[in-house]
Amino acid sequence: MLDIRKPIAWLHIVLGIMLAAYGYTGGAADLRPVGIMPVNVNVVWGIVMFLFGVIMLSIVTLAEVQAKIDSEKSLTETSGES
Amino acid sequence: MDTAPSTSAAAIDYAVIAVYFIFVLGIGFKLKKNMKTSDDFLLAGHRIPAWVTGLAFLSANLGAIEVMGMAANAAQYGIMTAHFYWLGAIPAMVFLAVFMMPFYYKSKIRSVPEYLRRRFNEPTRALNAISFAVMTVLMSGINLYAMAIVFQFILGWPIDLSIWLAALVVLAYTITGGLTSSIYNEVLQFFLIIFGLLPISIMGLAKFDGWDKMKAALPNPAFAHLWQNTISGANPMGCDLIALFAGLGFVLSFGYWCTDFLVVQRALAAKDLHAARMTPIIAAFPKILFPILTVLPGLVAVIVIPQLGSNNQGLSFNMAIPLLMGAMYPHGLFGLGLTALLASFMSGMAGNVTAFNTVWTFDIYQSYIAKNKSDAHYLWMGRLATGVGILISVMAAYLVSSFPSIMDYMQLIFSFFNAPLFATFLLGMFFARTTAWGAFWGLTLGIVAAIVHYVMTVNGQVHYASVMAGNFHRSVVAWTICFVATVAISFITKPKPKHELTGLVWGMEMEEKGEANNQDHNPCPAVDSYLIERPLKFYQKPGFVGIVLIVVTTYLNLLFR
Repeated sequence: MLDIRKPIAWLHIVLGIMLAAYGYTGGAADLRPVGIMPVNVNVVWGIVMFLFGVIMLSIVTLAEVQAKIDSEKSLTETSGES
Repeated sequence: MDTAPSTSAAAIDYAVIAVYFIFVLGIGFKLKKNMKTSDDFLLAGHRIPAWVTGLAFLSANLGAIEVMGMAANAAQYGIMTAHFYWLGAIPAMVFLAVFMMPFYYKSKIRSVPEYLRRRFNEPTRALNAISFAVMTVLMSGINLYAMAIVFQFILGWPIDLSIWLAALVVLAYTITGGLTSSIYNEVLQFFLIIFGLLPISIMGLAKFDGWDKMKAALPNPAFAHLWQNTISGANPMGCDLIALFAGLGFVLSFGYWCTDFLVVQRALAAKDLHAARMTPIIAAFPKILFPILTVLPGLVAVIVIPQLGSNNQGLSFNMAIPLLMGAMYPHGLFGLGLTALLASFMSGMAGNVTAFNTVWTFDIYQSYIAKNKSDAHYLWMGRLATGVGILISVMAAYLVSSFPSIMDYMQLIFSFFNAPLFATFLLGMFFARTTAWGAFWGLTLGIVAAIVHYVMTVNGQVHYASVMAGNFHRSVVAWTICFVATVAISFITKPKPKHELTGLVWGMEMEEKGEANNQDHNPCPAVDSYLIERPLKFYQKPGFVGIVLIVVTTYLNLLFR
């Protein structure tokens, strides 16, 4: 069955890149909110989302690799016994 | 540069929304091939890990009422709104995990009404199944309507287009992937809601240079206190200690979190007993922090938008969060904020629809209309019920649009049905002498008492400081009447024989291995292993984590007293 962590990771990576790129290329000509934050909010938040996505993706990839190792191990164990 | 609230979206905003839709629909279609039986479709086939069901548990009621309603409440009543979390949710979630979930999960029921049938009788189940089915589609309609007014106001979309478009997307992913798809999407939506709403709170705090200065800027100093003047009831919410503790903290919150099938269903989908018990516990941690996403923006809104709450619909309290997004977010982030709102409405609606189709298919259709059909037939009926449920939600959305206040209407429904139901469950699970007819008539009298109390409030025979206080007191009345009547009638009617109550009542648990298997005539002992809790370290036990949660919640109550 589908591991939901994968789509969550990819959605945040894609949205993060979109936001950061839009903010960086000056697409945010109207830099709201004026005077609240001295930063380009789109770039900062885009990077935060991108990083969240990458962390999620590494967790799920590690889990997959671990599962593969485990299943190979149990396979060799059973074939060794028989 | 323009600083006025934006009411238009740029191409980037639409692009963000489009990407979200692609992912949501993709998950539904990807799961379609797993949906082979009615159990897969309606119950998610006991396969889902605890962290997924935990976040879905939370997200399914993170709908329009939670996001827009709680912010609106905060703008209206101040930080006392946090009582809905720290008093009105966490204790009940811990109670569900520690005491009630073992009965729900081990008795292998498919729905909450089914528990009532096994513990009591058919009429009690029918009463609950029908009132629940009506309640869920009404709630789902509220979500649709709330979304439509946001999109009409922010994007200028016609109300009809918004309602039908949202209904179509929810239909597409629930009819393909069923409960699993709904649960998976709820988890995805959970993260999006956080990423879309959190910048409002961060920017709000940054604007005022921290909480202390923001407190000073509030129009009413009492808005910064949770417990000030709660003995006399002379606080912004007009609630005394009875209303807060007995009404909100006990009856309404336990009634919702412990017996509403919409939330219980998420835990029942968990892969084993321990995962099911951990579901509300895992959900409780983010829940403690949610006032940051809902209450705090409401407080920011009441300072930043002084004309909020005027009769103009575009400036109603409900619009607090959308208006702040318009005022604070640049394009791009604005699209993400809209996506978060969209996600919250869709998860709220899908949660209701998937609970509705299960109760309809198993508790009404299979029990009273078409018994003993093939599983494929019930799978087909589950899909049909999904479609019909969404269609009724659309109609309910138009119905809701004719009511002046969504929140009053909804609280009213809750105090009618959920408040007395909790007395029935409490007695059913913890008092073996409770009889079937005691439960049925107690529940009926509780509902009638709530209706009579409501009519008396409307006619002015009973008076409360606020609508909210009236709701809290009404639920205490309904609960007490149901409790007393159930006990009284139970003593004059015949109880069920003991062996029929095994596994359904506290102190009458089934023998861990033997009986659970014999009951199903299942020769393979391994099948039921998911019903047995493996030995746990102390920090893995729901009871221990529950105590940690209660301590943290108490601390927060003292911090903002």
